Amino acid sequence: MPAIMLKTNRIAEFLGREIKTEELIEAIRELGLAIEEAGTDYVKAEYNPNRPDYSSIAGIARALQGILGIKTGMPRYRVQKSDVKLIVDPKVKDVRPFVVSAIVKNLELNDESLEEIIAMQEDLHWIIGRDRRKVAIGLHDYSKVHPPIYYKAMLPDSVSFIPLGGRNKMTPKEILEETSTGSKYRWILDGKKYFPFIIDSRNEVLSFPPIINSSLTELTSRTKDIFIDVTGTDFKAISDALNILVTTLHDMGGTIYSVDVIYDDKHVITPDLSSTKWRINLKEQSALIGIDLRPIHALRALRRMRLDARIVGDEIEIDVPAYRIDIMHPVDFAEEIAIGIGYSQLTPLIPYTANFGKLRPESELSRLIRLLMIGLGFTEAVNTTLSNKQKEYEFLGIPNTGSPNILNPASLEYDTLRVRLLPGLLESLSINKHNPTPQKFFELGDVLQIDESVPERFVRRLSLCIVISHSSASFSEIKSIQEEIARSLQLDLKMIAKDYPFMMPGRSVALLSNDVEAGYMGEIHPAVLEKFKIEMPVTALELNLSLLGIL
Amino acid sequence: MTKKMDDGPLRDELILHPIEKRILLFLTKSGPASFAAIAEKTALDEGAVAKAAQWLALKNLVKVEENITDKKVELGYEGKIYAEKGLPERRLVDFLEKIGGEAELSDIRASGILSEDEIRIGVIWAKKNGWIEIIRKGDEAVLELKKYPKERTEEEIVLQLLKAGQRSLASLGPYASACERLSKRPNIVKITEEVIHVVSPTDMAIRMGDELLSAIEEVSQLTPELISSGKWREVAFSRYNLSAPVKPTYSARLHPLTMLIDMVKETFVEMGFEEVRGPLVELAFWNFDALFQPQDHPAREMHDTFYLANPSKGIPPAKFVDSVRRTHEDGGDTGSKGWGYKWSIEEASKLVLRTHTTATTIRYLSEHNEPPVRVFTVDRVYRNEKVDWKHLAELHQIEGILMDRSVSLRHLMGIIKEFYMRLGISNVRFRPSYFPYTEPSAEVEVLLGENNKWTELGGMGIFRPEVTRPLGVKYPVLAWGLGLERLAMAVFNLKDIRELYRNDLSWIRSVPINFSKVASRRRD
Repeated sequence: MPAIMLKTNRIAEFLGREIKTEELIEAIRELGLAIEEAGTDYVKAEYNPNRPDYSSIAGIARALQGILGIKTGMPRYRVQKSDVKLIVDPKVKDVRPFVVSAIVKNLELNDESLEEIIAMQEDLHWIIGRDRRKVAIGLHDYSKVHPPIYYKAMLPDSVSFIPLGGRNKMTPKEILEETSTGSKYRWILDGKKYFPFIIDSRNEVLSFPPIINSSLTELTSRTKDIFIDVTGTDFKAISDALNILVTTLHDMGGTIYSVDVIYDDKHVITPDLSSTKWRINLKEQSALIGIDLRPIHALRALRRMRLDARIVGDEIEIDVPAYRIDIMHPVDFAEEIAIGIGYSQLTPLIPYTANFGKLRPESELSRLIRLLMIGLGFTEAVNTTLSNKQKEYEFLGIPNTGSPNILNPASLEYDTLRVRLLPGLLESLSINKHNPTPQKFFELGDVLQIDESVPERFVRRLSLCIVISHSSASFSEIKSIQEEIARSLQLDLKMIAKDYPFMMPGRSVALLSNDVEAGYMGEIHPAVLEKFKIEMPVTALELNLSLLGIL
Repeated sequence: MTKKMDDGPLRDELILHPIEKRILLFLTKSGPASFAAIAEKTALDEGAVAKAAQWLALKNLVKVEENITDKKVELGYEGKIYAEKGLPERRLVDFLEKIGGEAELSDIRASGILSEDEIRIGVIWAKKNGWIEIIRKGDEAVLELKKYPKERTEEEIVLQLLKAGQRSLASLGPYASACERLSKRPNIVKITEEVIHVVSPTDMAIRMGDELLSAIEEVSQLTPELISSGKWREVAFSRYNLSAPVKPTYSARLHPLTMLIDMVKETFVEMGFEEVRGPLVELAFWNFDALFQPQDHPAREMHDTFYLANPSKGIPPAKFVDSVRRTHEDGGDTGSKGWGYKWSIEEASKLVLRTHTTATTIRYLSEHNEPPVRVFTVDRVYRNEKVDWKHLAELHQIEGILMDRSVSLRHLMGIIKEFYMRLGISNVRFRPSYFPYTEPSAEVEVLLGENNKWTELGGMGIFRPEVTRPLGVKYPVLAWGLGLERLAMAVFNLKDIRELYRNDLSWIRSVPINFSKVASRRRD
């Protein structure tokens, strides 16, 4: 979850009243933010990604005003008309088809607020922009910009400019190859013949989206007016990002001006901050929360959530401001109402639905087998089903064919799923080398198997494995235990001599149930013990329970 | 009880272990002796003599006295050097005498006969003995010889006497006190005390004399022979030595995680829920798409989710593909705006290691859309994450759903609160949260652990219509997914989450089997 640093006194500036850190913590918790860390004069909080409007202190303060009763109802934003035009080159359709834009004037920035704006831009890039792929934002000092402005697709080496943070003019190709930002985001432009650029009337490059801005228009704390370009692959997403940006800059003291964006086939004036109307059935939504809500209380709760709401016939009509991009369905207002009332005000209820509890047969059988194994003196081990090819195959000397391997392992520790329990138990013995012997472990757990007959192609199979380790661990000892397991579970197991790469030749057997090989038993090969760094003899038994007809 | 024992035929003092008997006979004949002497004369082990003597003392037949009579003394590390070269103070005054009774410190350093440490020690002791005086002349300290000791001092004699090796302090005769003085200085002589236990027969033992010979012998172990022969009637059994250490016994154990999982499962069964089970390798369709997670959602990225290599694709259920597609694209018949993108069946066909057990409950729901539905599962889920002390790539979730005609967020709060109460955790609270598949949503926080901290244990919510309608479900579905390992860390007081899957016997054995009491004791 994205995090944001909230200085108590900075929040107070936006709230328009003093607030104590404790009160702040309580209020942002009620809004649904998670407190990561708190000091005497700050709170570090995490917000949910459905609320990118919480990516700035101004945005959070806006919501806090409602919940604290300082200002309720929908905030209004006026957009002044400007005659600035942004002309879109049809060629961008194949590269990065959409752009929206706005100008925010009369800001009084300082280092702190500048930092907040940059942090918000980064969060929006990530949350709405999917790491700039879907949305990229360019912020410019408007005093350096000479409209009209053009959004163009051009050949990679047809222009050059000084990138933000750079000293010399570079071509876009050089930027992708030589700068760290370039190499981080160049994948987004992979395979594109033309690159997108925001250029002004003097032919100066302002932005090379989604990579980098020009240093020419860099924001400083002296910047008064900001020109914003937002480009991307999804018109709704870039508009959402622009709306969140301009409303926040407005709350920071700016005045919003529109830009005429002229496509070859349409003409849009952005930002479009008009609210959206929804109608909800109060009965339905309050039933979902579990309270019988009077309309006036619902209206109050919704207004505390900075929404406008009124009763229209049997329904409630709600105005949602443009920065609230999370509302998709009437059901979303159930949560708005619940938060507006306060989750802590909702008393838990026990549902009266009656039903009989029951365990799965696998769980029932597992309990019985565990009891049996404890009775036989075996301690239970629990290993992960994630394993690695080395442990699973290389150490045991068996080929890795048709196994449940991971496509994208984060580490070599986990690059496959276990197909038998034995390697995990050998590792457990290795970990317990320093504990006294004899050691007897069992594990009862799932192994994975390919099965083309099911839609998900893999099935889990319950397996039982035991290992015995001490200086005179012998076949007769484990055979006796195998016989007791068979007697206790009414299994008809036959033994036939069979060699396995991980067992000592002539000292292992296959266990057959109805002529199907359902397991193996024997003495682990010293070469395998060496690989697992075990210095004691080990005997082992593994049974695939799904082949025994007891499940 | 007591009465009977007093009246019985066996008087305590007459029941003797064979070893006790042997020692007593020796003592009454030869008089008081040390453990060592008794051991030598009776051919017994000194330890056995010591033990038997303690028992005899309890029976008031002997007295054991501790004598610290014998002190042994030998040269220490410095002492050995001084015995060869002379004490530092002696070497200092010898030097002063030789060069004319006066020297500056720098002269002494230059002479090299004493190390820096030895100069310091020598000056202190020579001054203490009244041999020298220190006079400041300008910046320099001048040592002046006051009285040169011509005779060897007692201490010096002791050093010479000890040169031959260890001896008793007493054998130093008149020099013993000089030796004790030396022992106050570091590393010169080492005095070790030897405790001698002297055992003497009590008057009672002497009075009893021959009666002791006929004392009944004690046995320590009842044997089948003693029972079958009836001889148990004639022997006396030794009393337990309560302080004797014994070899530890370790029981075979269930893994603590299994115990906790069983407890959780039992709790849900008690609360009227039925267990369900689903695949570990799951179709992206069930893991993400059916749960209204858009296909460009960050959780679906390679660095968050494990994808299977081969086969890498399965077949999403034809029955639901179309309704799910439409819901993603424009909301379909669900009343939603949808995500507004082009849904791809390719993406939904990918095989993943399920990232949450909600994949299993949603599968169940797709086949059981008539109310009521009350099911749960406690099972494994996967995260493509780097493993460290607080993160695992494979962990368990406690998942469940309840579907019925008129259930609400408050009922969901009630179920979760009841569940934790039954585990002994009574402080549960809820905070608004977000999941793409629930609305309203909440985070569950409980008061846990040594420092009683509010800990996030999982999420819950009511499935969105975008999730339920495409599956033909018409009623609200309460859903939750809670973490097991975090709870386990608090209950088992673990600092490193990896311990849960290491199977270290010393850890498994250290967990009390009634650990649930541990959780409930923290209730207030």
